[in-house]
Order: sequence, then structure tokens, then C-alpha cells
Amino acid sequence: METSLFDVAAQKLERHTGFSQLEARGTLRIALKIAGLTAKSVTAGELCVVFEKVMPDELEKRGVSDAAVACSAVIDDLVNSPTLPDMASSTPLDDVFSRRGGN
Amino acid sequence: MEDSGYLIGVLAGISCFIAGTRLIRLSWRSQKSPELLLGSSLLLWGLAYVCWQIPIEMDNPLTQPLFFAGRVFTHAGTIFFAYFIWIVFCDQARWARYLVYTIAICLFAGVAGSISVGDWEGIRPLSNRWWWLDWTAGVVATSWVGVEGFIQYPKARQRMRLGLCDPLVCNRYLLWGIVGVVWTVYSGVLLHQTAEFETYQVWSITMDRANGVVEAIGVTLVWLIFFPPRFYQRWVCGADPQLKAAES
Repeated sequence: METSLFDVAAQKLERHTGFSQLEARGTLRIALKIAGLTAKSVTAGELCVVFEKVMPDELEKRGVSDAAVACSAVIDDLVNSPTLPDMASSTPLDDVFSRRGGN
Repeated sequence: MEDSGYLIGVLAGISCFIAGTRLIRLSWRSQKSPELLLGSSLLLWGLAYVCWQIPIEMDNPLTQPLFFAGRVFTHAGTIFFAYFIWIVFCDQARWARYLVYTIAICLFAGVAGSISVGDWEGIRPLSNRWWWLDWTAGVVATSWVGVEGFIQYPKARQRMRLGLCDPLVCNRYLLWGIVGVVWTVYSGVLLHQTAEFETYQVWSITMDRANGVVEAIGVTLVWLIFFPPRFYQRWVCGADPQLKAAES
């Protein structure tokens, strides 16, 4: 089964925080929800922003020390990953509506 | 029909036609289906307005066929619109696909049933039960886009705060939500107007004006979505307090 971007990000989070798989996936879903994103359609760029701006607070609430360091490590892994899966195949909704207007 | 109501109907038709044409041209360049679907629906609704408005203003022996054509164009546009909502807002979810099929079936059945009882134009809601089938399907489609717009708007605001969504794009979700409300209200006004016509055999001035007001609001919203004037763009991009706080 093809690994999604969400799966890869959750695995990285799991590795850098010591979370269980369930904890990592759950925390990531919550962070995405706070950011107004969904696991199915999130892009790599959006994930990096989530880990930069939203995830540190979420990790601190869950007692992770050096949350910022963990998030930076995940971002580095995502950016440098040679096997990063393609972005979600469905067109991001914002992209559709940015084409929509009289721009 | 009162002149102002007629004029607004003409403007609404022209607006839909222009917006639809531009979107279809955009789809040729972008090779994307959402543009084609939405453009097609607006184009068909524009044609429907033409068909509805011609007989109203002039004594026209083609009133019945033009009204029927208007009805067909309206429903065809609604099907394209429902399809657009499905693939854009609902990410091709299965339940939404079945809703699109249901809307299409109800529209076809409503027209077919109306023809069977002699109401080709769809102007006898009190005596033609089939009228309610396609009217309801239309209301479902227009209210659906409103619901989806209002669901997506707060999420878009969250993305906007993180710099992941352009303020104008975020505003468009809100406008789609409001459009859904306005078009649903329009369906209600149309119901009242059509029932009144069937009873008194005259298009009342009061209902014409009500119809005109709702159409004017709908036309304005369509223009703000597709052709936002510069002052509106500046207002949307400059008014967001979150953006201002982030910049300061």
C-alpha cells in the first residue's frame, strides 16, 4: 500500500518525539485540524508550516521537551527525504479557488 | 413584469453568461475540470435567463417553448453545478456522488412528470405535484454550496492565519456560503411568485421587486467572486485583523 505524505510525517514525528504510532498520528491530525487542513489533502509545504507554527505548542502540551528542536528535525527530514511521496493527488481546494476568480 | 425586475433579470443573465464564458476559456488553458463544470453551469443559467426574460417582456407566440427551454437550461446548469460541488468541495466522496445522481434524477423526473400533466413551463406548483420534485432538487443544490462554503470558510481562515491561504481565496468561501443562502431564498421567492401567478394569472409587482432584489444580491455576489473590483480586493486583503497583527 502506497505511503501517504501524512504517514511519512507521522513516522518522522514518532521517531523524533518518542511517541507511539497512535500518539504521533493523533497529534498530527489535531495539528492539521488546528491549521484548517486535512490528512488526505495536505501538501508537503503545508506540513512544514504546520510543524513550524502549530506543532511546537501541541508537543509542549503533551510534555515533549525541546518541542521546537523535534519539529525542526521533522521538517529537515521531510525536506531532505529522497522517498517523499508526491503531494496528494486531489487538487487542493485553495488552488481551485485561486484560479476561480477574475485574476 | 415591472421594468426594474426585468432589467435585473437581464443583467443577471449577462453576468452569468460572461462569467461562464470566462471560466470555460480558463478551463481550456488550465485543462482543469472544475472551471469547465462551473463555467458550463453559469453559461446554461445565462441562457436560461434569456429564455425566461424574452417572453415576459414581449407578447411572444414562443412563450411556452421558451419557458420550457429556460427550464431545461436551468436544470442542466444545476446538474453541472452539483457535479462541481461534488468534485471541488467534497473531494469526490461517495455520498456526494449519490447526492449528485439524486439531484439529476429528481430534475429529470420533475420535468418529465410535469410534461405528462401538461405543465411544460413549470408554472403550476399548486396543481402539478411534479413541479415540487425539480424545485426541491434545485433548492438542495443551491443550499448545498452554501453549506460547503460556510464549512470551508473557518478552515480557510485558519489556513490564512498561517499564511497558507490568500485572503481573497478565503473570502471566496464566505461568498459561496452567502450565495447559497441567497439562491435558496431566491427559490423561495420563485415558489411564492409562481404560486401567485397560477392563482391570479398575473406576475405581481411586489413579487417582481422581491425577485429583483434577491437577483441583484446574487448577481453582486457572483461578480465579487469572479470579478472582484480593486477596491474590494484592497478591502479584503487589508481588513483582516489577523493579517494586520501578523504584519505588526
